[in-house]
Amino acid sequence: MTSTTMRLAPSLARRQGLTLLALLPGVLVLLMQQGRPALINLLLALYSSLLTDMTCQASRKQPLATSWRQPDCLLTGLMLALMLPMATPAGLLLAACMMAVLWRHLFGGTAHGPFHPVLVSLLMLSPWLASPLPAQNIALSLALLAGGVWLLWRRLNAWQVPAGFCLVLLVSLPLGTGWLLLQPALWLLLGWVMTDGNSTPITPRGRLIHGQAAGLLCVSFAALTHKADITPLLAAILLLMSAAAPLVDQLLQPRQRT
Amino acid sequence: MRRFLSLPGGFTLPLPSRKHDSPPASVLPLPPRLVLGLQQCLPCVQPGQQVLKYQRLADADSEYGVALHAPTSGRIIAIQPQAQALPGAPLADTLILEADGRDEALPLQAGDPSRLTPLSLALQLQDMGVAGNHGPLLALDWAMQQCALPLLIINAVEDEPYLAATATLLEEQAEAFVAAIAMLEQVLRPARIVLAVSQTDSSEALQAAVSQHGWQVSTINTPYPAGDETTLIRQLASPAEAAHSLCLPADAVVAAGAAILHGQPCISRLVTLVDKLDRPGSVQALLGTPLSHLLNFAGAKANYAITHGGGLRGYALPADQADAMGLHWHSQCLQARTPDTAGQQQDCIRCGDCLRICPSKLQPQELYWHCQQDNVETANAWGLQDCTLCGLCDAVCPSQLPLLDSFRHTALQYQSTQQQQQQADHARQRHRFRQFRLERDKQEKAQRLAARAAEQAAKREQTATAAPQENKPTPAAADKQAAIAAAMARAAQRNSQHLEKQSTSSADDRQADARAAAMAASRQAAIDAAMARAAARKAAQDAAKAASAGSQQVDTTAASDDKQALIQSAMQRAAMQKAAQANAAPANMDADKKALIEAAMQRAAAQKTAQANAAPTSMDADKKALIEAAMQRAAAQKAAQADKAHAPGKPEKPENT
Repeated sequence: MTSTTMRLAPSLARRQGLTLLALLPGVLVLLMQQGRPALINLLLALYSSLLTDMTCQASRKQPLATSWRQPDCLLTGLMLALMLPMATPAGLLLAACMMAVLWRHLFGGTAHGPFHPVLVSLLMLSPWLASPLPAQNIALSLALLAGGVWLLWRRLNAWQVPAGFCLVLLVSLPLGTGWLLLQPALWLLLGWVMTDGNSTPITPRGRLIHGQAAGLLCVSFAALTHKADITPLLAAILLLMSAAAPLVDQLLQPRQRT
Repeated sequence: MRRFLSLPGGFTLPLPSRKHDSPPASVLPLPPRLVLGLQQCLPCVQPGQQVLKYQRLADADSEYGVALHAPTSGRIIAIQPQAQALPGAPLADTLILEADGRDEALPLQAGDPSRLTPLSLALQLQDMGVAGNHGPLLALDWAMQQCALPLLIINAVEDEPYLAATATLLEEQAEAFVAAIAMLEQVLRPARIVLAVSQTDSSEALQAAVSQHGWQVSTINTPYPAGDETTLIRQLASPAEAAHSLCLPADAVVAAGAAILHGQPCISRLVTLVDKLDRPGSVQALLGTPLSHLLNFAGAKANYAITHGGGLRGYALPADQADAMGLHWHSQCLQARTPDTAGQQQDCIRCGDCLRICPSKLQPQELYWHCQQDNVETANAWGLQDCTLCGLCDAVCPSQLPLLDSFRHTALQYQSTQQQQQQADHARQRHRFRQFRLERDKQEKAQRLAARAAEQAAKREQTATAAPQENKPTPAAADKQAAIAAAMARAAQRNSQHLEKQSTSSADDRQADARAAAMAASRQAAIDAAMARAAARKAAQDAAKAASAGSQQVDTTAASDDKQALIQSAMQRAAMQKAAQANAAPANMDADKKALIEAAMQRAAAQKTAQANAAPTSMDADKKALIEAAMQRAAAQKAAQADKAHAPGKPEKPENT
């Protein structure tokens, strides 16, 4: 017996649908830039992740319709397709999508994984990623930024983590790490991965500190190494921060109003 | 059109637009039967009894209960446990009244508020069945304190979606409302009165009436849980006033006005009915009206669900029991909603929206986790008691978790376990006191018995040796000052005195008589010792039992008196015996001695058995005196000591006589 109170926020499925929709400008820009190979990559990633998800749902004896009602797997596939370079072999892309979806289901579905599946998949496949990521893609970065801002405006994302990260990045511009801002992968991770509550602290202050710490680590590594391929590094940093999230949560309890 | 009120976290609470010419409250047709829940009241009518309208059906059972009156005339069919229109639909005693349709009423007597004190007003409101948020409108313990009231807030804020009853009340019964506030002002004498209203347009109607009384109207524009008592007091009262100000709901104030000014008990209230088209309409319904009757009136067809309360705090009730559940005073709103199957709860994604919107700055996701685990202690540590059950976290949860339900359930569970714990503690205390009382009575009885036995022995001996050989008066006056226990010592003392006297007199000339008397005396002493021994054993047994029971008092002063008397008597006896020995013939001495030794042996045996149980005694003074005399006394002394000293023979009483 549950109460039928009024709902002030969209349901989980709708929320995920809107998150997916926010990637649309980025997808369009990519299609315009790259044309047919981008389309093939996107379709491959989407299909493979959807099929893997349906298999997992069937093996867990869950209704298959969940796979497209809650388009978690589509979001994962789309993000991987956007993040990995066009020259990635199809087998690697397939493996990345399957691994991410399997990782999610390994811990019991949408809300349970301690680490974000996209990060795990990126880090695991980084030794085989031959060519560097498409760097300095200004149009794609702007499109992704627009989608992220729209998500923030719709209040579907918490602003603390991206704000903390961007703050550190902007403050450290004199260090010569401004090229980070033009990486599409950075905006993708900021807007769609770091705002996932499962792998970040839940208190507002905790999230701010989480974002700042991630930004600090990222900037210092980038300033020290000057390596163009920042994605595996970012993934490792974010996984580290996810592991520290429970500690941050525990240390930064907000004061209760008595 | 009301403005949208923005909540923390950027959510907006859609409030229904309220027209200026909203339809007047309709009056519900009389239902065939009324179902009146007996919450914190005891029925004073019998099943089968015919009652009239306004007749009292139940009295408050405690200071937190309110009385119940018959909403219409009819017959009491039954008093039986039924589901209540409360969260979780708990079973409680319910009085079922079959309406006869005649609606015959008792005559009402208008009251005079000018002679009322706050306490008498509170009592009268309780008797009239006017309830506030918790118990009677004016809490009795507050009214009893008679402290000055710096601020009286009349809470007409109604910011929960779908609630419209108070607004309708203010529009239609503005005169009664103003008169009720004037009555409260007359009796309670607050330093100032603030009317908290949520909308400006309806308060204009009140402005004219209110301004001539010098009251203040305050429009509340803060977001949603602004209608809460604590929030209002925090917002309207200055820090100095906050602790003592009072916040009364407007509907109860109107009911209080009717009860005091017109003598009309509280039997009906305005209810907002929300039909399937989300059109709220207010209806004046009798308390106890079955929910099915109300919902049918609102146009609900079959297959509806019931939500009791507004859009955020409301809780679902089982629709199949809609006939059995009656309206109560806290039923402000009823919604007939078809079962919503779309809302399926999913797992928490830790989005943090609940945390953002919580007005009490709690962490609902943690609370929910612990409430689901039935981990009440941890939930309290996370602030479950600070939760105002506003329902905002539930409304913004994308996973549609039943946060509010689980918080309410756990809070109620905690409350009931607390009550049970309190009752159990109370019962345990009562039981302990009863045990203590029983033990105390037993010990007192044993003491009395021992004392009586000793006195009887002494009396018997006096009658046996009735010879008026006493040269000096018995020290009765001194003895009577001592406690009951000292009687035994007296008896022993008297006993030994007689014995000494016998022996001294026999030394003179009447040796045969003296020997016979001595023999009788020793026999009497033996009997005395046996009885004292029996009493001592009994007392020792009682004391051993009592030792486990615990606390008790020892009359130490009596004991020390006793000791002094014993020492005195021993000294006297020693002197006398010395004198006797100087004069006595050896043959008589032998005979006397034999008898004495015999008695002494018997007493020694008794003393040994008593000593096995008794605490070590301080017989130093006696031992310095003659041993024979001490042994004579010993039995009686033992009895007395076993009564008094051994009973508390425990570490907490180290000092024995």
